[in-house]
Amino acid sequence: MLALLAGCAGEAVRPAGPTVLYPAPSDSVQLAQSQDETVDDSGFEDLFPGEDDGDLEEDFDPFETVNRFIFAFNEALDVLILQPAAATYRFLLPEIARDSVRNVIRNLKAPVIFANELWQGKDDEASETLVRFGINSTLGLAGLIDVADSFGYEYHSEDFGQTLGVYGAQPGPYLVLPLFGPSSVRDAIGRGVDSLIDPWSYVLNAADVEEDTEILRARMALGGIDLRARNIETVEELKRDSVDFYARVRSLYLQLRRSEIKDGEDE
Amino acid sequence: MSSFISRTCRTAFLALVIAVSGATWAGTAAFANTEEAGEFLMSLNREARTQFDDPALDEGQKEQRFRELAERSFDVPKISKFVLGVNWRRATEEQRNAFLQIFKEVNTQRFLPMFSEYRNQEFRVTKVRQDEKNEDVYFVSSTITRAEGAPIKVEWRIYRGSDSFHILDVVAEGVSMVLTLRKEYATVINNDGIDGLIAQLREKVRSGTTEPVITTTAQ
Repeated sequence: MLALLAGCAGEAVRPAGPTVLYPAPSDSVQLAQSQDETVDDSGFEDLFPGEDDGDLEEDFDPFETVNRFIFAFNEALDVLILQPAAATYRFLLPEIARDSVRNVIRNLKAPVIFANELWQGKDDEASETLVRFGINSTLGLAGLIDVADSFGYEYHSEDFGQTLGVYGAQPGPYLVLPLFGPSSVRDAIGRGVDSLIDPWSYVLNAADVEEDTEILRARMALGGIDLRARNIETVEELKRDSVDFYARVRSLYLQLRRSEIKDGEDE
Repeated sequence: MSSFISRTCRTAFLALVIAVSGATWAGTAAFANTEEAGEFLMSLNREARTQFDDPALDEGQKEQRFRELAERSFDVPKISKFVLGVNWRRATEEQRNAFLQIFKEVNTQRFLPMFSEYRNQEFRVTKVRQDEKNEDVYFVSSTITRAEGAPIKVEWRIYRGSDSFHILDVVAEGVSMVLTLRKEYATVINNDGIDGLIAQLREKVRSGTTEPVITTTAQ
């Protein structure tokens, strides 16, 4: 039955088909069409410039076997712990409280963002981040309220992986980190540098707070739950029609990072 | 001699006039097309909204309308070719047709919920530019403002056919739909072959996991 359907469709597609399927393109595409019977998609790639940069097949992932294993582990953790925690968190806390959680976490990230903006030569953004930190830490009650945003100082995020990217570093092999999820060699190094320059561990240390590691871990966990809670539908949506969720997430991550490094600007 | 010079001058002047007016004409045409490209998406948005709000239609009819809208708006054959990439060239005629058929369904189901969400979102076209490499391709930048959360930046890659515009790609926050599918499908094909991919997509559609959730609860 399926073969029959395919056969019928086949007649529709060619040789009379192309005029119906590919309505009135420019001459160059017309040429490609007439060659279509033999050469196939030559000329077609013109429709997707920028995408055609040579590496159009699979993403660079030499550690795929290990990555897939860690990905499955993370997925299991997500299903068992993170997703339920995020759903509960979203159910229990009103939006304003959840926004406060995010605001505090963002405010604590300000020093790292500031440093990376300086390194990327984004002086205006860096000073904006500094002003934001000053306003939100005081008027915003230790970051609970994003007052600076209503003054027109918008939040923007940078990390050391992006800084390396701005200086031309390629992501290198794709990596999946336990707990943290998608990354790359470049971004994993960036993550390490960011945690080294993060002042709060030194601050807690200097203040002789005994539970310093617990506090830092709690910050990380809360940030993760908040982020997950904001993306419950998005993740479901992404899984819905995916035939290889691992490969999909890999592509999404790499594209997203490339876009962040270019700061969403056109090429 | 002088008449020769004046004639040359006149010819040159005439050529210049033609060139300039030609350029202006081309400029206006390009501008008009840019406008049309933006208008295409705006009207698509309006159409989805109108049909959604039509009280005369029941759920099934609405889905049918959205389905038609999706099939009309996307250039599925072109997208299919790009999504399969090098594998399109390797595929047999039967495999291509089987893929086209199932991918059309996958694409439609993927976008059905989006149309129904239109009603609670504000859709705004912010910029339209023509592709330098192909004058029939336009990039339409838009902002979708949701009831909750930050606005999303979506760029549409659309193609001007003889009858109408067609969507080739949707790029949300720097992530391209067709590129993501291409990478994902390439991995599946590497592991299970094209037939494996087709079978898995069919299974997805059959099992209803790709079935859209159209929320028609009136506000």
